[in-house]
Amino acid sequence: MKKYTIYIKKYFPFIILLVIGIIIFSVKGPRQPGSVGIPAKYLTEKQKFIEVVPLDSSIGKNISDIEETTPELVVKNKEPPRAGLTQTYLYDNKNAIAFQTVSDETGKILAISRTPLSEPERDADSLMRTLGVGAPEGVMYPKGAIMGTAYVYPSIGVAFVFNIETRQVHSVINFEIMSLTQFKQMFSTVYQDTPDKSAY
Amino acid sequence: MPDNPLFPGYIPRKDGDFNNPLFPGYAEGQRAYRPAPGTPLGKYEYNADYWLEQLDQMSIDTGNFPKWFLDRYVDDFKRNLRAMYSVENIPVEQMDDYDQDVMPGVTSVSLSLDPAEWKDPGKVVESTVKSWIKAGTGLKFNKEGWGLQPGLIDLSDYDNNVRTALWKAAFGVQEESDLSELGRIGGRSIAETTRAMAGDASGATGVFNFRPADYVVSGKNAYQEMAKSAVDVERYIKAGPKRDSKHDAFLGAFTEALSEELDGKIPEVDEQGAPKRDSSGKLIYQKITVTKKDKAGNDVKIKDSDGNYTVEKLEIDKTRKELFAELFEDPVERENFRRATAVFSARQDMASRMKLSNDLVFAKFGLKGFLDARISKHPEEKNRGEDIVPESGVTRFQDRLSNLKEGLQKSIGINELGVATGDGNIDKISNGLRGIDIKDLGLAAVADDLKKSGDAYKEYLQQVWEAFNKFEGKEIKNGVVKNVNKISERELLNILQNIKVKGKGLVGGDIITPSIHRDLLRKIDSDVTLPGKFGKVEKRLQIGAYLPKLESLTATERDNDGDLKISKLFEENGLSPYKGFFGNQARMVASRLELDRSSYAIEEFYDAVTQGKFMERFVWNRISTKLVGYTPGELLKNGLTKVGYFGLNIDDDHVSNKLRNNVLFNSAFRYKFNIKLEEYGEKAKFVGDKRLAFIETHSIFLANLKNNLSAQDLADLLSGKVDLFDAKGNILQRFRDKVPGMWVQDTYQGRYIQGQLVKFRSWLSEVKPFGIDIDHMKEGDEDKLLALFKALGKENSFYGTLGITTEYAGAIQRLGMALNKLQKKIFGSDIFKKAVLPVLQLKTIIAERVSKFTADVLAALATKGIHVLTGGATTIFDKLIEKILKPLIRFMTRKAVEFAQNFVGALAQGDISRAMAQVDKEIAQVVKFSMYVIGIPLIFIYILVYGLFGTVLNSISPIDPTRDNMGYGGNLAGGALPQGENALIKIEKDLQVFAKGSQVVSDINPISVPNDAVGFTLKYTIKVTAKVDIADTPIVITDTLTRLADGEVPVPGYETPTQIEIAPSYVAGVTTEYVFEVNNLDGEFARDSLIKNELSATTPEFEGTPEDTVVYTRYLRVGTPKIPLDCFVFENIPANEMPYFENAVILIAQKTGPFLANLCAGAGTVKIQRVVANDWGWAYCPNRITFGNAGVAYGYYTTQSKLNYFLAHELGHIWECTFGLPPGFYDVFNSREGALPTYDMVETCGINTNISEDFAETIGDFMTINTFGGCHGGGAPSDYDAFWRLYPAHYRFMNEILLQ
Repeated sequence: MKKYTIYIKKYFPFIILLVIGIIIFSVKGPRQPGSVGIPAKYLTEKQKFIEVVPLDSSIGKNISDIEETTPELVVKNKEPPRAGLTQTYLYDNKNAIAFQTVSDETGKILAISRTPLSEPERDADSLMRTLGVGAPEGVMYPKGAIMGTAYVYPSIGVAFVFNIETRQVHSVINFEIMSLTQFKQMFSTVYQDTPDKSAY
Repeated sequence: MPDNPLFPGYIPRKDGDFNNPLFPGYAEGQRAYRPAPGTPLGKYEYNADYWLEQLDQMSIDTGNFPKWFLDRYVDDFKRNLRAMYSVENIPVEQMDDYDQDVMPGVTSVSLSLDPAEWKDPGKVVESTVKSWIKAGTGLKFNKEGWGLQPGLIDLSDYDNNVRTALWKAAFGVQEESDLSELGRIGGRSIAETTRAMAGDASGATGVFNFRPADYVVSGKNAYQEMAKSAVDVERYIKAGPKRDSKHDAFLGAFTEALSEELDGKIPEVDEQGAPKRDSSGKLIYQKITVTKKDKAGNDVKIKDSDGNYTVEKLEIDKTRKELFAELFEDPVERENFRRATAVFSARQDMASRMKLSNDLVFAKFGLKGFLDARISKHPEEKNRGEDIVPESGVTRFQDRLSNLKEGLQKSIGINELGVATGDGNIDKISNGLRGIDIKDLGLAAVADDLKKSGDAYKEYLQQVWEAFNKFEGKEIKNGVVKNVNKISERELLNILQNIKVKGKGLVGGDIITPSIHRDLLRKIDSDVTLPGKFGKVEKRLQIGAYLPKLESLTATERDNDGDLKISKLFEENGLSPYKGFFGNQARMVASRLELDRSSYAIEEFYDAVTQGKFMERFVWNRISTKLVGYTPGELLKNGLTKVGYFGLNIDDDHVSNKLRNNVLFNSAFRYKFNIKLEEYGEKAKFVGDKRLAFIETHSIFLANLKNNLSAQDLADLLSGKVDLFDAKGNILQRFRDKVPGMWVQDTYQGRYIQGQLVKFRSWLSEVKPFGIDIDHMKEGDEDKLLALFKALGKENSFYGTLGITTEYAGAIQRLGMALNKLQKKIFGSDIFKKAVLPVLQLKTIIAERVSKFTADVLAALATKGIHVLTGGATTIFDKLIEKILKPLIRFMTRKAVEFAQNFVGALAQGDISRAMAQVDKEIAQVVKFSMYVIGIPLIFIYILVYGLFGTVLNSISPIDPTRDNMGYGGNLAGGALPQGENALIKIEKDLQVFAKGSQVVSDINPISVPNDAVGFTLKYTIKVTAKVDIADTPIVITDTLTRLADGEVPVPGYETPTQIEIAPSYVAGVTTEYVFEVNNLDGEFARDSLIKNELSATTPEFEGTPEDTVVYTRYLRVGTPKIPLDCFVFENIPANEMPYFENAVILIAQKTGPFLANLCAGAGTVKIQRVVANDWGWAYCPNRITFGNAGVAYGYYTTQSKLNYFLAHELGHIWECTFGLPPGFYDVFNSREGALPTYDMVETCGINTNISEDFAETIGDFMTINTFGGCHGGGAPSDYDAFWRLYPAHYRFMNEILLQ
């Protein structure tokens, strides 16, 4: 017994450290691998689209499927993947519309943008009324441009850029619902938090 | 390890263990994320171990600072625990800054007195004796034992002496005939290289010769003094602290000489040609009359008795610049030369005052001498300044102090109560400069800059003044005097030695921080040697810009009788006959010395790094506080001095009377020296004597005086026939013009020198040297006396001598002298002259030839292909060459020569391993150096950007701001070449405007002239420089002259473009000038317009360069040009940019038809503003456009085509603000052609361009295709029509929608 007491005394600090370690491990423990990010079910509940052409609602679809099923779409440019995201510039030959899409490694379309195609869409106030939105959840500014302001509504997956003086819309963006932070990260090459003073 | 896939050795995470915040998340039903197969960067090898190793060895360990400081203290103590013979007096705090091994001559012989070292006497003796032998002979011993190292002998001292002799020959200080053939070649090589480095195109050969120059400053021949100090700079060029101070001394002498040559006052002479004097004996100078100006720069007019107003005149001293100015034909250039000379003289005056102020306090006979003597309790009352001055009745120290205070007050411009008087002598210099022409903005800028130096100088003097007050127990501020505790003499000395203004002392400085004086000197140097390249001074006000031309004009301009014009002018003004123009030769010498100085400074840095002393020399010494007078070393030194270092090193002042009377002490330590009268073949031994001070102080000086004392004068003075000064200290009339000015002015000085002379006579009388008895002079004694005078002076000036006034010398002092004499003997021996001297001379000759070669290559590079090589970064490259590349190449050349010498030397001795070791050593050093070079800028950039100079850095333009109204990229495809320049040619044009009767209306290249300059004449000077040789291909220029007002029309008489063949073929580097005049331009025709002159030249296809046309446009704005639409309001547009903005509106209106009219109708007023922010253009809704400074660097506001585009683009934005984007433009944007590629802000050539920017870009490109950025070469052809053929929808939109 004495022998064990001596051992305990000798290793007491280590034992205490071990116990603390076990407690921390059990609380913070190894996480289960699996889903991170946004559950798929939200996609159908809150997602809104500025929907004029079929491609507007292609969020979540695979870009290669879209290309295959829509022969009038031509890929004009595809940028190399950056942080797992790929920007593709598509041109609809039939309807003469230019699109920009953002897709992940699997090809799933996460966002799609284009210029407004109809008169109501070109007026910011009318667009906001249609979408039923008020003050934006985030205000950003396009890179490489001096005139636009981007109103971002990440909770419904919609954003648009417009001239705040004339209220004329420059472009509309549909995207998968995500947090504002995620939106900023995803569009970090396109929008920023302050006007781009390097533009003219 | 950082969680970064780019980090070498990064291990990818396992499946699912992914925390990238950019990952959008996993959706139900989706396949699990899998990283791409393979290991990212797995095969990447990190091969920088060697570099890291070197980095580790750099010894950057901030933790060592306190320890280092402690070591420093201990070192200081140890260093002083040593008897030392040293002829170099370097301040202790700088000892670590520089490499001590490179001082020329035997500088330091010492013996340790440290008991700890003497524990092993054998070792101390061995190492000491070895060091002595090496000092005297250069023999290199192994560390252990008495064996000699390979190479046997260190020739650096000899080498230095040989080099010095060659430099003396090169600058004409030594006669070429005194040299061997190789010596002569060496001298000439140096002179030729110096000329090549200074870019001399005159084709002059031979050595420089300043001997004929007879310009006198302080009684000395100014140019000869300059040449001597130039040799001195080269002698000490490898020795850090001396190098900088010698260079300062050179600049001082150089600027004095040049200022005297160009701007010296001209005395009035009587009929016999003798200078006239006033009743007080002062010279009377010739005067010129100028118009008096008021504070606003307008003529002052006075009303006469008849009620008429006349312009008031003022008389000022006439100087030589008036004579030299006569040589310039062009009245503008003439006036500018006068002003440049005035700028130079004003700066020189300020620099020379700074030096004088410093000398008054710190020179040998300044206040510091008294303070030192008082602190060390010098036995002599006179040395302590405690004798009474008869005039003032106070001690000499107090008298000097109050004189100094009074002088300080006058200089600063305050009274004795510290209240500003508003007429300080320092301010007068810059005010005087500005007052020449208050309307000359360039002059104002220089005056402001000089005022800044003056303000720092004043602040320094103010602190000196306050220290003096404290010493007297007073604190004086703004008229209020407070009694405070007096500070001690030691405290005063400490304060004086540590006075700094923004971290800078008054004179001197160290390797990093120059002083106020050095700063100013280097600015002057830059004005002379690099006009138009650096600084805030306009080129026309930099004297260096005129020197080469003046040299040529003085030699060529003749009057109707065929006589040289300048000679005649000198003669007519009673000056001594004209001997030639020396300023330009001096400029070349100055240019060479500056280059050498910079390159050795780089070497100092390199050596410090490779020797691991970087932190010590460049960092720690900068931040450590100077502790003057309190170091343990000083206390120890004082103690040891008092006991004469136990007989090793004796200071006369500390030898007691008891010892002086001791026979044994005298026989052991009395200092003796030999004097030989060569002409008489007599030799005698003398003991050092204080009564020889007259010789010590004045012999060389008097012999070198320009209007020096004649042999008879000297003989009369020395023998006592006449005195130099009377009892009151006034100079005798006979000698008035033969001695320095200060001797004439200062009676105290006069009495002092007379006292020295009397003492010397008493020595002569007592010693009767060589049988000369001045009390009973025999025939021939006078000559002998003169020979003695010279011989004593020679002995005294021998390098390393103790001086003929030294009474006692210790053993170490004698040893040091003996070693110096031994070295001289070896140097003068036949063996040396035959065997070693030629080798050393050859080494210098080869080094000079290599330098000349690099200088020639650089010059060729600059004239031929530099713009092509640098893609047009012309001015930056020019600057790089001057300030960095040239000294760096000098440094690299030297290193290469050194390396080759060691490497080849080792190979010659068959020692391959040593040769390879040399290679390794060089590589390791280069690696280490590179690491610092890479690392240091990063550290400094960080500090500068975030700490100190953030705004300054932003405001530095990469483009030379001194260039006049021209910009970059005059043509569409030309990238970044300046307007009028391509790979083969450079065309430029200067404009001057004259009113009727040749009265100058403007400076060169005016921005605008008023409407009332009716009937004026425009003089265009075209300069064409070919960059390549193309035989049989003439250079043809085409010139058009138009008026822009309500459209563009040709100037009458110039309806068809003028074609001129300017040269029969292209010759690289040759500039051809062509002048044409437009006479009597009709004032009514030109009223309120822009006169546009366009010069163009088409260069042929040549070696792969396609045929090209370069264009150079210059505008003259007359009155206020009419802008077609009155809705534009220009605000804050600089004058030089204004015509471009106005013309841009005119041209946009012409090209876009109703576009502008519609815009004005909708927007009302459109404000166009220039702002200082570092932005580009910015359109603010509803109707304001700002243009920031970002465009300046790229010439956007001074290149018409670029501004046309830029303004049109911003107006496109205003259109959007006013009317919104036209609905049709959405279709254009969505058409197959997409956005125009030229708007490159998104770096994707149009792919990601915003529709609003594409709209603005369409309007911008419609005016001129935007060439900025990387897209114009790919997606956008530079040809206007070809470009729009690719984008028909946009073009149609402009034509059909916007312009209808």
